[in-house]
Amino acid sequence: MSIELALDRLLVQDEFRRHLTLDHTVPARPARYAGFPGALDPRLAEALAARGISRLYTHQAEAAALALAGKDVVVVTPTASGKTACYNLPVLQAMLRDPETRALYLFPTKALAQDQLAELHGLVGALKVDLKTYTYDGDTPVSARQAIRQAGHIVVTNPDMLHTGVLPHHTRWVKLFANLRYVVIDELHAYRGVFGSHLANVLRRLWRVCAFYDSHPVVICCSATIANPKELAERLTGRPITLVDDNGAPAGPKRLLFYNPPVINRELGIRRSSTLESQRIAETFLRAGVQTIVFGRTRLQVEILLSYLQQSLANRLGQSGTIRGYRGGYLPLQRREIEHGLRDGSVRGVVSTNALELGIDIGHLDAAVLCGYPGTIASAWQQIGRAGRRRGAAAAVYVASSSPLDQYLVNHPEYFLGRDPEQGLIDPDNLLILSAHLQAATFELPLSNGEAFGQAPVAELLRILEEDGAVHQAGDAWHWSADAFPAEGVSLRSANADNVVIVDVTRGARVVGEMDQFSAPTFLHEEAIYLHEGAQYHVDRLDWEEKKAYVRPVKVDYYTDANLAVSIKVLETFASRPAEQLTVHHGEVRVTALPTIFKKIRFHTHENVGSGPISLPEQQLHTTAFWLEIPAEVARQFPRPAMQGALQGVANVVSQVSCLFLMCDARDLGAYSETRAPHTGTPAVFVYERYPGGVGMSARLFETSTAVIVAAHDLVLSCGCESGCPSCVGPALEVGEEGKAVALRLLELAALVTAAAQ
Amino acid sequence: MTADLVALRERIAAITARPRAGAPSPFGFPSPSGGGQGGGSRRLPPNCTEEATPFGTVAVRREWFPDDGSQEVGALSTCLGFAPDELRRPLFLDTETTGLSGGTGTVAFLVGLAWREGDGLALAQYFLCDFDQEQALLWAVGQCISQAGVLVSYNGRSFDWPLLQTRLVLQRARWPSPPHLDLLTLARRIFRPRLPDCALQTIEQSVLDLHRADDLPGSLIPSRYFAWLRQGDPRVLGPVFDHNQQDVLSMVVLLARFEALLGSSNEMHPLDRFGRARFLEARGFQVEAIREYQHLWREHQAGGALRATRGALGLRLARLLRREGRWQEARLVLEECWHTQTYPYPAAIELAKLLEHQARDPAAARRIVSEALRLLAVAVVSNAQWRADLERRQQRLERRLGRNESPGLALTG
Repeated sequence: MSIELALDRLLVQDEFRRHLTLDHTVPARPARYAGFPGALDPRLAEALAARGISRLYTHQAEAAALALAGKDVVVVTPTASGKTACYNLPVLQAMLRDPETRALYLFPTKALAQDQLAELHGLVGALKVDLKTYTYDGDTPVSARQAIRQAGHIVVTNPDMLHTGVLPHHTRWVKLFANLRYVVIDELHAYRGVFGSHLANVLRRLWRVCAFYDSHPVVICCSATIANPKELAERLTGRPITLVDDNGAPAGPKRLLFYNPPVINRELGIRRSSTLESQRIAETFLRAGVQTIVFGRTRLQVEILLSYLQQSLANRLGQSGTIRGYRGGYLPLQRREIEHGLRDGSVRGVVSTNALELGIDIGHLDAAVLCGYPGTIASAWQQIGRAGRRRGAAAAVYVASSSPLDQYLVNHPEYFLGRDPEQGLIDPDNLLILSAHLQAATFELPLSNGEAFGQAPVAELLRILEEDGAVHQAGDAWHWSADAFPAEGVSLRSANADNVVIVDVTRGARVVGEMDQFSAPTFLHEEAIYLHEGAQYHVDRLDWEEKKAYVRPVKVDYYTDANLAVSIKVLETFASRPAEQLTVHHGEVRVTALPTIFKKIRFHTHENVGSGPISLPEQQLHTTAFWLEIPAEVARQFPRPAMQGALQGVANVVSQVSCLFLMCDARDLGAYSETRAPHTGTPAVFVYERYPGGVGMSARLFETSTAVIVAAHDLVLSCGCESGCPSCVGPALEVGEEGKAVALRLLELAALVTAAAQ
Repeated sequence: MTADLVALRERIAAITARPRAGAPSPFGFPSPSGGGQGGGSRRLPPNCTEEATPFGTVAVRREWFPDDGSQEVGALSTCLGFAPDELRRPLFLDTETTGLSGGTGTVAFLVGLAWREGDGLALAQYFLCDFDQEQALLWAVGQCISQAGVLVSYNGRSFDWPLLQTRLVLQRARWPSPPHLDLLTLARRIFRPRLPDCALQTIEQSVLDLHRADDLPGSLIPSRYFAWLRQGDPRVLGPVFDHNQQDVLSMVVLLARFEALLGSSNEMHPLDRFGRARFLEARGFQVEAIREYQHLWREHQAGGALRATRGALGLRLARLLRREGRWQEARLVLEECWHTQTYPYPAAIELAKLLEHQARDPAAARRIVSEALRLLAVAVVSNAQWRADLERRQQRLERRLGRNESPGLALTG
């Protein structure tokens, strides 16, 4: 049975063919090889040969040669292109030359670190030399830590552990820091937004500590395909970096299909379920004996898809064990077993969250089905990349959901295939993030007078810290002088130390998630129905002082919608520019939100089945924003009531499209519209960052505003609904009967797209 | 700092607008809000003098105490394995630090040292007037350490010494590493059966009969130092020096007390004596430990004050006796435990082992195990581990007896 057969079975169906928006074959790519870099230790060449590697792909050889020559490098590597050799080779080579050499590997998660360690152990084992590789993370037993600090040649850890467990205790790691030659940062693209901004500061601290021990490690970064790998690597590490993106790994031809499930209710813009359609397509592959991976967006969706597929294929495949699920929450041993089954072919199908999109080794599969857009183009390519043998054909089918982003993408495959527009954005100089790390840095080593730390007003910050009693100046340096451990109070992952923690009271007070303080009143007020990974929770109590929301799982037929009295005040405009007949701006704003009441709204019918007051304090957020302003003479062309809905519609669609351009989560951005913005009295649409001070996303929106507006316009224009639906400007109920038309007109006026689009 | 961006910005703006505090004044004097107090006359805490080192001056408070206490070290030397010559030159060490959380940002700002000098005790407390004197302070302390026969501390193994090692790395300095006697380890062995905890102050009150007056709680010490750094008021430091001095002097007394305790049993609290026996056992002095346990066991039989620990006592004694091949004696002890204790299960397990392997009487062992399991089934407080152990043992004994007994049963039946 073959992939061709399965594709034929799909493509003979008229209904399927008719709703394809893309049928594209990515041509096969031959392998391009290069020899081992000159002076490769014969022992290393032998070990590679023993593992069946007699030559390198061009990108591996280039990266290894640069790193061995002491150049900092970032390698862009698609899924399964042998990226680990790019860093393992130079690191091991250096260790063979000088056994004192040490290296530090950073992975964004513990699971990935484990996976890489297994690979590394294999290679080191074949070398027959005594090189010790260890993971050092929260799971490392205390009894083993001392040995790792003393003897680990390669220490594999994550940014959080480096931040709280290693740097503040660097004197216990003298051997590591004094001999550190390489720092490997894998999955670079994961370090975006707040997390990346934190990591950039952790790395600033790392470089300070290295300098103290007189070591100057070479950095090797690996990234999935993003638009700006070099820029991201340079902003993260604060160093100039050489880009290696000439991929020499081979690939067989790959058929790429985009499928948009048919509309079943035109008026409301409702389409057939992407879950069921994905199941049907995956089933066709699996029945034809094609090893297939299905990506779901949430854990719940994964479980649903898995049980559907297992049921429908139980007879066919004999035992349901050959189709497995894979997601966070599975035990490590279970995961290893599934990964192994995928590699040796005994597992025929797997349904996964994005957990399998990262660098975990599962070999190559024949087909991938993407149930919904995973949120970024880079992720989508990673998921598609799971299908593809080095030789032989493969196929990937993307099944669009009805969300605006999905609808934009499925209708604009050329955007998807064109140059990847996503940016890995960070702002290492966000004042709040930086000042937190400045304290940790001072704790680690006194800060010399005049010493720089990023682009911060260090002297002023130190004066503030001095007033607060955290630092003290003596001689020519500033010393930490408080009975506190500053790294402990700073979480690299969440935006803010003051997040509201969500506790499920029914399951032994298990924490199910957290939410930033600014959003919490809207979603976690008492009696709210909080949706988490597809499950409904009722908020029993919100303890605002303790920042805890106590919830329990429920099954109800309604959701809640909080009314917020929002206002935005522009504090400072950094830059402005005309956008055809409108203007765009970038600057600092204060967003004030006061939750007033909430409504209980029944699913499907949208009738109001109850309401209640919310009594929580007003929330303020100081941040940066991008906004679109409509001059009074333009606004006059439209009736006031239509304008109100249209602005809301523009806000909805622009913020959605912005997520696409910025490679960020929808929750990172907020959108808001005003018919009379207080600072000008004219209508305006704001997209603001939800992290205090912002991490550079609104600045990038301002720079690329034309593209963003054009994309937003295209999305609305190509949507088949009559007067607004959740896939474009929002439902007509929300934006009004004329909302969609006026929104479209406003976007036209902002980007002069009329001619181009017609 | 603050988590509010605007508040932070406003404070930065306010500082930027202010005349520059950090700029050197035309007269070369430092600004009052900190700033380098280079060279010249630093303020000193009360009773301190400045002493020169190759790395600048360091503040020190010195005192001398006549000491007519015994300087016998024989028992300590025997029990702990330190050379008598080392033990006769102890250096007592205790630090006060800027925090308890450890890490590179925690500094030892006061290092109290004491050693024997002539017929008395010399005490030196090296004090960090400001952070830039640390190199000088570490040098001065290092001089004392290089003279030490043995370093004596209280919890120094896991706190003071690693912390000082961190400071050395940061100042790129090195010290010799003399043998280290951490009195906390010894105190835990000997006093744990009697005392609720082994904090130095508990030991002072309950063992040494020393009672501090107006002592500064340890948790307040870092803030006193920060107050000195910021306001320069020497009065806040007096209680810190006193606290440190008391800690060091208590160690001196405690070391002598340990020598006495290890050397003789006169008027010793039975629980301390039990603790000492445990210590001897742990150090491998089996014969001595048995002698002590037996003494306490007899005392207990005669109605002594060992109620709380008699179970542990009996078990330990029996285990040691068994290991020495004296299993008949061990059996008597265990049988008594089995018959008299509220929770006789560990004794039952030990007794069953002994009956099976040494007395070679598996039937008797099985009786004990079954009886123990029956008791455990109705016990108010159960214990899964005991139960599992007993059940496993019962099964094995059944198997073993089943094999050997079945022909016998056939004959009698």
